[in-house]
Amino acid sequence: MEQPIISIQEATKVYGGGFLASSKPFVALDRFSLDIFESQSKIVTIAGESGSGKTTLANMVLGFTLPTSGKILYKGQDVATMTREQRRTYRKEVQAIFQDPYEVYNPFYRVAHIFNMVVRHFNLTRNKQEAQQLIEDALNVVGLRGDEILEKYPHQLSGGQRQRIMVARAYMLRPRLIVADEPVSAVDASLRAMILDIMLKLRDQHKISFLYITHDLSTAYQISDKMYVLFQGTTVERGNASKIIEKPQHPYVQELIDSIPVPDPKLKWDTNITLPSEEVMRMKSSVGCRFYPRCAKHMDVCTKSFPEYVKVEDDHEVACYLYK
Amino acid sequence: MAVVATNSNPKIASRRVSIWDSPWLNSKFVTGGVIIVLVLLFGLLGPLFWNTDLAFTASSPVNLPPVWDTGGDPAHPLGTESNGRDMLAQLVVAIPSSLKVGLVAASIGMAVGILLGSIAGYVGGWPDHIIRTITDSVITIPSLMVLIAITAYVKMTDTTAMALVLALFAWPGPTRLIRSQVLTLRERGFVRMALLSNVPALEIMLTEMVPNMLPWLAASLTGGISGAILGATGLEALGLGPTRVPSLGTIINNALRSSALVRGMVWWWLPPIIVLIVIFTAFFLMTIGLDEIANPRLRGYGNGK
Repeated sequence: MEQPIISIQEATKVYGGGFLASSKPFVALDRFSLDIFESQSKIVTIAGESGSGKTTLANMVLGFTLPTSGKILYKGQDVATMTREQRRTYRKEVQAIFQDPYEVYNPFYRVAHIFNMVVRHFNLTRNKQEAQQLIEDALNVVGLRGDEILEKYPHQLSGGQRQRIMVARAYMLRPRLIVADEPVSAVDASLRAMILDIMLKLRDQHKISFLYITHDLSTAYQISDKMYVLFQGTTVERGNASKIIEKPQHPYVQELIDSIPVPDPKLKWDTNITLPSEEVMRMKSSVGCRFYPRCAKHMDVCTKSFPEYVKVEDDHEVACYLYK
Repeated sequence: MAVVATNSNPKIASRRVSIWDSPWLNSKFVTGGVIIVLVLLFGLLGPLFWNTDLAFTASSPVNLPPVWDTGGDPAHPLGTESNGRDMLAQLVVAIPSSLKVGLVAASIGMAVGILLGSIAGYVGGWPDHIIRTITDSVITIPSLMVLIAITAYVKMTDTTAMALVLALFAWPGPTRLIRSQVLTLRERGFVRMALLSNVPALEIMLTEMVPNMLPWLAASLTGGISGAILGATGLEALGLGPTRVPSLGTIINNALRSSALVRGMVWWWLPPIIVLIVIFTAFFLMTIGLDEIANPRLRGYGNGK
């Protein structure tokens, strides 16, 4: 069997709760598993609300935080224990685009700095002309020209330009995987379409996989192949993105999809979310289903242990006791 | 900071109207800086116009009042004191030596602070715990008392020794400041981008973080200099400074020992105090000016300067 480029195995991240700590441990991500293969470039969506562990997952895949338990393997090698040389190839092949396209620029330097850093530290080219050509090619992929932007300061560019430059930067390395942490949340609608388009193009023409992290299910539906819906660190539903969005099984995902506003002024948006009583809402379950307090269909068994994944159809699994 | 020059688009180029638009032209910072430069010039150019040998004992007649007072002598415009030293010559020698003590002590403190603060902030873990514990402990020690004890034992021969002793307590402040700055910068997007670009830690520190800390570093340095000058002057006024080279604190000490206050020799004890007030005010202005540069929210609305 082919070795996955990134294999996330039961990754768990717990914050706080150490020796002498006053706060209770907080589980940001609970036993998350995912494999991404090089041969089949895919856009994998990690969807979930704020605090569901999406960004924690992104940071772990990028090696910024280490999992408390479980493993992140890059081509079979644990990200936590890499040699300098291994880290270099890993950095080259696993790149990222972040949510805020302003934060990622050092205000001190011109835009060219961000490309020069990459060229220099990965020894991409032999001379200056080659480097220039490489940068120009990458910028062309996202519809920009070097002489327009390279000598400017980041604050002189629009948000869309800044975000496209980040895509070009990642593309320049020809990575196998790009972790896109809410790449379109901070840009307007027309640019959103453009950036999503570029992502599709990179997937199809350049065989780059994406770990697309978002809270926006409509864009996930448009571009993603696979989807993982997180709720408070646990994966509640996983599988084919279209199947999940068209036929959501988990009560949380159903609620989530019902609450997407339809862009039709004639339709009345009357999502009725029936919340249980205040006492039940306050109950926190750290072993059972995390959605228990908010779930309209909760049962006693839900608090006992986390439900097993049930296969509802091909490439579509849900963690809920309603399906046995 | 560099201003956009190579810009083909005139609309964008006009956003920064001119170099006079720079935040570094903060009025407090500039005023303080100009005063310090003037004080420094007085000390540096003074020897060209005035004989500094007159700063030593028995080089001039004793107890002459300044020239505008009755009995004043134009050869000693600011008067002389009881040991036969010319006041103007003493000030010319004392000002640069006091500033030097401040600069050396603060620079050493700063260098140690940058080193320890970066390690604590960037590496984290147990090095952070150790550095933080030691720093916080040293900050609670009343430094003047310890300095008095040290200077009473160590024979002060020149101002460098004085600066080194003062540097012992000049590093915890910068260490804490830099640690906290590094901690916040570490989470910033551009540092993460540098990490993703495989930039080594030391280079991230120097090229990505330090430029963004410059105003804080400068504010900490000016604050450190005036703190060290205050410490040095305090020790010298107590008679614990180097005795041969005149410094602002030593002049005050001599004046106190010779009962200049009771004898009404205002020209002896007042000039060094005025110079110190000017120096402290100037450094204070520079420090708060730099604070406003580093933290635009302090600039308030409308009056960006």
